[in-house]
Amino acid sequence: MQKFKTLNLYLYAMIFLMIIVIAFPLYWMVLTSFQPTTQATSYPPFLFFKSFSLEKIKWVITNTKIIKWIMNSLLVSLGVVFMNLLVSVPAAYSIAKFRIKFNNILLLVVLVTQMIPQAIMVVPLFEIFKSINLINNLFSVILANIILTLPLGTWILIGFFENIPSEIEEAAVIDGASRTMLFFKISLPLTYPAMITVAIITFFDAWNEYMYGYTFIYNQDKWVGTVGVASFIGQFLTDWQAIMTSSLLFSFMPMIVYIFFRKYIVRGVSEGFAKG
Amino acid sequence: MRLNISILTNFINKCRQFTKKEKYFPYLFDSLIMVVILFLFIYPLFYCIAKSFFVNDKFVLNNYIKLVSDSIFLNSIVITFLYVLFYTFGIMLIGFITAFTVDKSEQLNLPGAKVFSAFITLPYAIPDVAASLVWLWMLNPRRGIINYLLSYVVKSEIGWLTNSDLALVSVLLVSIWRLFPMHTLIILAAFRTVPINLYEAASLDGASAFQQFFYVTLPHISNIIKFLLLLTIVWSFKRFTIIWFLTRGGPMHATETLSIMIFKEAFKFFNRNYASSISVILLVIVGTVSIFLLRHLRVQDGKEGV
Repeated sequence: MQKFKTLNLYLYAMIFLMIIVIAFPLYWMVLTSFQPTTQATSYPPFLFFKSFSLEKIKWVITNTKIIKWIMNSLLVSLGVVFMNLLVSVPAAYSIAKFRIKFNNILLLVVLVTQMIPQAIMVVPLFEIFKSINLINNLFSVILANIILTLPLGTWILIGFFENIPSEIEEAAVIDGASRTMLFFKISLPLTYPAMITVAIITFFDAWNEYMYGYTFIYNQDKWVGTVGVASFIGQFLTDWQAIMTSSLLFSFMPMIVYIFFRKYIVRGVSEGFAKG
Repeated sequence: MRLNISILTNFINKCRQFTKKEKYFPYLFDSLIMVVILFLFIYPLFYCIAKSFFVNDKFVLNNYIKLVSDSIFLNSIVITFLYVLFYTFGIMLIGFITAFTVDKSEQLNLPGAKVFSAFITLPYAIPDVAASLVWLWMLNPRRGIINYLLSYVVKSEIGWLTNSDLALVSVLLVSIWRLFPMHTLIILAAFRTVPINLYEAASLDGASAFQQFFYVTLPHISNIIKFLLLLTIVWSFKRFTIIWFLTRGGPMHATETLSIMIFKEAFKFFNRNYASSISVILLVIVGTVSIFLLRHLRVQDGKEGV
């Protein structure tokens, strides 16, 4: 029994430590945002809530374009999710089901795409989009983000399509289903959960993206949230409360998505990796 | 009989149509992704390579000659490798520790274990920008909470991000804080693939939890871990946002990885041709490292492991 006690002690210590390390920055963001300004910026700082106030949140919402930027982020992220699924679902289906040489090459290219740092792509994409007048248009950010998120999505979907037993498809063929019907009526409905997983991971990545949003868009009204929040550093140099409040407002959406869809993320990750 | 024959011909026709179409089907399904990859990946990549050879619209090697003697660039290569090395080591270690803790506490049914395992992946939901800004505020040398708490122990102000010896460490810690949940989830999923009866056999032989981990779990999941290691290393070359917000590559280029340097050259100093030549070098480095790792890690699981 002694053995178990040391293990338990170790586990409790680790859990305690990890909760502090993970939660403290989040707690600090919330604490800084929701205090009256005088307390939030006082030094020595208050470690706990002394009084609660919404004054800074109201100030940030009315005096900056944060809501507009968040809406832009939402538009871009949903656009990326839609385009990503539109492209990756058929490709993943093809790679998983048709064993032709071309598909092996395609899979390799998709995996190589995954490895290329964004910084390499940003200059050529910027100049290409400039030459076709897409700069300062949110669509350019959507397009650039697709290539960023496409590989992982395709890859997760391939795994799911491969898991569909071929007996189901064979039975459908015998019943007279065409290839198109096979895809739309049999395989597609079976992969809805995987598509949700891919959609969520894509959403997070697109929401998180900064480099393309910063370089492609220069009109303030069209900024995405990351760029908007980042602009607070330059604008309100030492107003840490404003910076924290905008960060919190911007983190709100992914937090909600995370809380409701956590199991899809876990499942996608587990099934994507643990199979091997 | 006539009815039967018509059914038969019908069936044969259907089969014929099917095989006829079959040949073009994969390409039809691939067409969208081909267009996307061609225009948004291969074309820009060649564009970048071509651009790196030009100075004032003349085809020359000057950009590459300049690279060799650019001490900031050479420094960036070193910083990139330091970042990749310590980031990979750190995040794998944290991933293992957290996954082990979650796994064991769920097995032993410790109170709150389920809540804890949901909670631990929370940093994944915080965007890089928000995470960087919170840490920037907490690590602020004069008014940040961390220096305040440490002021009971250390008397001087610590410049977490302004001291060139410390900056890289701080950047690494924040990067790991933001990104470890994925590793926890993946390693945890790997743990779950180990058959329970192996543990039962091991504990009958009197192996402790830690022994079981090293002699049962690790060998069993080595393939997944090798693959994760490969991805972590390749992905760590991509890290940009957190470093950019915390230090912008400073102080004195102490945290300037190649990604940061490319971005600065291109959009701060407007040397896009020079930035392209650095991009090509980064491309070569990432390519070489990936090929080397693929050769030597020998991930043996077909498609998933390519």
